[in-house]
Amino acid sequence: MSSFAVVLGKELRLEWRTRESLAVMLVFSLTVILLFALAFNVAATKIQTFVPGLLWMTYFFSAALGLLRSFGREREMEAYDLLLSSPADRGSIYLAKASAFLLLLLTVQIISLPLFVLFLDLQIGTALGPLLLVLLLADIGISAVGMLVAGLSLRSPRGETLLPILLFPLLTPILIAATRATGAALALRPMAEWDMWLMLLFTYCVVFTLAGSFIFDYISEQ
Amino acid sequence: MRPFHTIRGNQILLLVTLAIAALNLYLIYFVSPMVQDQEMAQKIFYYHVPLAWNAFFSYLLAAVAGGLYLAKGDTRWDRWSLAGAEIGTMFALLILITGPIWATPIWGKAWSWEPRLTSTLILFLVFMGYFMVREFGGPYEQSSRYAAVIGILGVLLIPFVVLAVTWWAPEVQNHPQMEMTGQPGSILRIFLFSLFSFSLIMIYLIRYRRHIGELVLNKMRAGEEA
Repeated sequence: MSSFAVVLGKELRLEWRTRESLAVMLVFSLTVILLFALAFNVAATKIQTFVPGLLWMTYFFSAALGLLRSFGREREMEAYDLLLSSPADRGSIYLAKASAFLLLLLTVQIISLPLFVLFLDLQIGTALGPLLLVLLLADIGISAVGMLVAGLSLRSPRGETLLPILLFPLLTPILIAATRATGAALALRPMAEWDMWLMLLFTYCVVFTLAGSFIFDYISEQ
Repeated sequence: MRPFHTIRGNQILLLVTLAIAALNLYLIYFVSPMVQDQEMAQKIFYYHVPLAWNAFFSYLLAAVAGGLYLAKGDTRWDRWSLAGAEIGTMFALLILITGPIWATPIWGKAWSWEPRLTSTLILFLVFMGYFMVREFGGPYEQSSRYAAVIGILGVLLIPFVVLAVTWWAPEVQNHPQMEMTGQPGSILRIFLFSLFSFSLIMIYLIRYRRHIGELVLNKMRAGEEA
């Protein structure tokens, strides 16, 4: 079995046994939706303009929260040093951790999407397919950059405060592309009109996943 | 290490840089022609565009030297990377200041999310993270490597930010893209001279900053040994 599969299996098994990150991210997403709804008075019809933005702000914050937990277990009992001293290639450790986080992120979003539909009066209908594609591409980008930033900030003395400051500026192209694409998908516009956002997301994913798997080696040295 | 300004080469660089900068100011304010409609506001173009070049090249240096530092582990590269990042951020800040100064009389609004200014702001924030990692990232060997990673990611991000921000709000006005070949020769020549002058300022500042970086590192190491 490849080291990628072993680490991925370990990550998923750990998360499944406690469901800690999943629970925290879900409850947090629900709370943020509630806060947005109260702060912006969603009863007004104008809110539809802001819905893609609200959706992605919520997803971004809950992703940051999940990333804060992503190296939590590694910090306990020097588990991370043991993982690094194993013969597993550092690039595959990174890819496995990023993939596990991607699955977590998608799970949280797919569970909370119906709540958005309910609370923000979203009309999804036939937009569901394109919307899931946007979710997948944006989440790959978030996981690729997120795991790298989490890996370096959480081994710093003040990592918890460092992580969002490093993460969000690096994710701005994703935020722009994802909100624009989501808006267009919800408005049922033909995909040919907005596929440039999908291209941008796709290229971002490829570039930063490659960069991450090369660079991760350098941030995991002691 | 000898003090920076006792080295002959640096003395000459400083004097030449100052003389050229003074001549540049004279050319911009007294020789270059007034542009219709914009009057004095147009003069900022001779600063703003060279500043953007400088910021870009300094950040590129931060990323490339950061990559070499990661690959070779030689702290000299780390000092170049830090110098590039700091001087680049200073120039980025000046872009963010001169842009709105120009936009206030011309567009009647200081900040209107002009794509290139917005991109500069995002890059500026990425490099704020770079300095925070240096400050709070743990011991020097660790934080300098982490900072190099952020510098590389930041420069990889540039094309994505520029594309995303440009497509993000097509209704937002781009500031005029000067067609350099279409400019009258008097403007073009003074602009190129200004580019040269600002490049000298950048080279001088980066060299000086790197020198200080070496001093700080030497002092830190001496402190560790003592």
